[in-house]
Amino acid sequence: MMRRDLHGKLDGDGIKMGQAVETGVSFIAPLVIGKVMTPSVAPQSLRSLGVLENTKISTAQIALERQMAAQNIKEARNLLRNAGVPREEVNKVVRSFDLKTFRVERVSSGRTEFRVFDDFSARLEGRYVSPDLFPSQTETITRLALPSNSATRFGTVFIPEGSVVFTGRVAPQIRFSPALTGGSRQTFLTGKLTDFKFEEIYVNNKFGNK
Amino acid sequence: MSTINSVTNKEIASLITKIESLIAELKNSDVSNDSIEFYLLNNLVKYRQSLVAANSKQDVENAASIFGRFCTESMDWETKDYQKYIQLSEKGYAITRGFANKATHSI
Repeated sequence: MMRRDLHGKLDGDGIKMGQAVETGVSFIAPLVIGKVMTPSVAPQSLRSLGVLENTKISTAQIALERQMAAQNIKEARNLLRNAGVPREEVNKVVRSFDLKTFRVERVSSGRTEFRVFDDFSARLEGRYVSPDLFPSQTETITRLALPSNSATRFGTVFIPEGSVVFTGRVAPQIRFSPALTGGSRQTFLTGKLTDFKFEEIYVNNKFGNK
Repeated sequence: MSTINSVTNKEIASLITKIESLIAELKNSDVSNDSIEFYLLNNLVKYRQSLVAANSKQDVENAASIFGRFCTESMDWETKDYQKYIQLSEKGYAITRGFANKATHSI
């Protein structure tokens, strides 16, 4: 098959990256799949094509994200401890998030999120809320990793400007159940619960049941 | 897995007694549906049931964790009630720290 190389020349006897992979640079392959290279372009020349620089940037980005998450976690721990939350509870709140996604946010403009609760264990006025709503009860419980919440009722919560909240992805809670895989977006409200406006919402036929 | 021994059994029994007294206290008050007391009562009953059925350190830890999560997410932290009830969860965690570790004893 005739293809054009990186300089726009038609590929005659060029090699594909698959051959370069065999020479031991397989980590580069996903970044350049589909490009055809002339035999003169050795794997080490990929730096000049900008491929290795991209790899370096992504590594630096990961390191930066980790550093940022660590700073946010430290700030959150101090905030909770100063508010009188015991150490075990502080750890539990932090670990309810996928740590690398954890952020402390000062809400710049008010927004509305959702709270799921039930008739027995979980109250409407609660700190774990989410911008996401799910089509089924099962998905709600698994994606939000709710260990003790039947998620039979829904509410909205208005988070006013200036509130301090924790945001991130829900961490799996498999010690309670392997089904609690998490992964959804989650917000944890700090401060007084009366600072937030909770309101139950009624969704007809929400789980496809009449 | 760490199992419950006679020492931790006594500690769990003591915690259950304390929970039962708080359940009785709440039941004597006027608890309306959807109030914080209503959910607190349900969670206390559930915590008690979980401790009664607990067979391992993990069971006690999970029970303490679920009750603690309710307190931390549904109460204001500076209130006396929060400090009073969160102690029950803390006590549960303290019991799990005292569990005999079989591997350590066999050395």
